[in-house]
Amino acid sequence: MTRRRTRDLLLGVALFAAASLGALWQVNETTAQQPDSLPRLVCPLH
Amino acid sequence: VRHEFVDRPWWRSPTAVIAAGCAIAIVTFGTRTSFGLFTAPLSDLRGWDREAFALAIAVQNLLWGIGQPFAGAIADRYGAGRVLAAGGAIYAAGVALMSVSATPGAVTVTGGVLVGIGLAGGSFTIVIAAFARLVRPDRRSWAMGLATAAGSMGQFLFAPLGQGFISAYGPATALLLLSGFVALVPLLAASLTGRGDEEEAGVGGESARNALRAAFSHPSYLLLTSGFFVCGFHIAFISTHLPPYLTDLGLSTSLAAWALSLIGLFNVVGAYSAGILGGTYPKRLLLSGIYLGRGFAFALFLLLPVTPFLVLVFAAIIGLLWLSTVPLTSGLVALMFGTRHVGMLFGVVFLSHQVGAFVGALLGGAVYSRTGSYDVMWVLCIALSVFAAAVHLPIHERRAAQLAPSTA
Repeated sequence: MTRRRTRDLLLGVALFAAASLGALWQVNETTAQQPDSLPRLVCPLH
Repeated sequence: VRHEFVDRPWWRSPTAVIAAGCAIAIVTFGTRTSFGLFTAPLSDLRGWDREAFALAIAVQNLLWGIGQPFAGAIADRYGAGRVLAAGGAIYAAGVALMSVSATPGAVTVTGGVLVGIGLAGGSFTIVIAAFARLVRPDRRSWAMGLATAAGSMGQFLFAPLGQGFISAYGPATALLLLSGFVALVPLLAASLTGRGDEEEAGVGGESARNALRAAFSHPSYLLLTSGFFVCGFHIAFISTHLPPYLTDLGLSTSLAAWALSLIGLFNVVGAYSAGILGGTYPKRLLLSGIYLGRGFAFALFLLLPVTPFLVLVFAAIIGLLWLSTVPLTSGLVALMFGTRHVGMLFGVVFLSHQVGAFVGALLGGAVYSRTGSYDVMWVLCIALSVFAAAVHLPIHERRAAQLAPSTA
C-alpha cells in the first residue's frame, strides 16, 4: 500500500470515528429530550 | 499541471486549499443543519407558530437551488474565492439578523432570502467548482469526496454546538454566535482564489451562454442532470417521510432516531469512499451501481417484514449511497466540460437535484394523504432507481466534443 493510500485510509477512519461520536450524541439527544416526537434528519442538502 | 502551485504562498498550497474548502463545507452545512434545533425555541421566544419558521426555511431552499447556477456563473467569471467571500458574508449577515427578526416577515427575509442567497454563493457547490480548478486532476475526485464528507460531518459538529448555545444563552444569542462561525468563510475563501491551470480549463474562449447551450445539447449532460434529479427525490422522500413511516409500522421513535443517525454516519463513509473510487474507476458505472444499490435496498425494505434489524441495515446501506453521488456527479461535469464553466454547469445539475427533492417530499405527503400508505412511493423509488442506473450507463466519460479546445 502506498503512502498516499495509507494516508487516505487513516483520514477515512478518523472521519468515521468523529462521525460516530456525533451520531451517538444525535441519538442520545433525540431520545432523551423529545421521547414522543419524531426525529428529523439533518441532511446537508435539504 | 503540477507546477502551478510552485510560487504560491503556504495558504494557497494544495493542502491549504483542500483544508479551507472542507472547513467552509463544515461551517456552512453545519450551521444550516442546526436550524432545525431553532424551530421550537425561536418560535416560542417570538410568539410565532411553527409555520413561520418553516416558510423561511422553504424560501431558503428555493433561493439556494435557483441561485446556484447564477452564483456558479459569477464564480466562473470572477473567481470562486470572491463569490465564496461575498456569499459567506451574506450568509453570516442573514444568520445574525435572524437573531433580531421579530416578525415572520422579517425572518423570511433574513433566514430565508439572505441565508438562501448566501448558501448559493458561499457554500458547497462553489467549493466544488474551486476544487475542480485548483486541485490536481488525479486528486480531484478524492478532494470532492472529502469535501462532501466534511460537509456531512458538519451536522455532527454543529448540532451539539447549536444545542449547547441554545441551552446556555437562548436561541437569539445562539444564532449570533453561529453567525460568528459563518463569518470565518470570507477568510477561508482567501485560499480558494485563482483560476488554476487555464490549459486544463480548456474552454476559456466560450461564453457562459454558449457553454450552457452546448451542455444542453450534449446528451450525456442531460442524462447526468436527470439522474441527479432522482438523487434529490430519494433523499428528500426518506428525510421527510422515513420517521413517520417507521412509527406507522409500530416501531419506536428511538429506532427512527437510530436509523437517521446511521444514515448520517454512513453518509460520511460513503461520500469519502466514492471520492476515492471515482479517482480510479469509471464514475458513470459507480453512479449506476449506487442507484441500483438504492433500488435493491428499497425493494428489500418493501418486501421483507420490517424489523428493527432490517431498519438499521437499510439505514446503513442507504447512508453509504446517500451523498456518494455528489463527488462522482460533479467530477463528471468537470471531466466532460472542463473547469472553465464548472460552477455554472454543476449549479444547473444541482438545481435539478433540488427540484427532485421538492417533488419527492411533496409527492410523499400527497400519496400518503390519498392512499394512507407509502407503498406507492417505495415502488416509485425503485422504478426511479432503475431509471437512474440505466441513464448513467450511456454517458460518455470524456471531454465533450462541442467544448473541446480545438473548437473554442
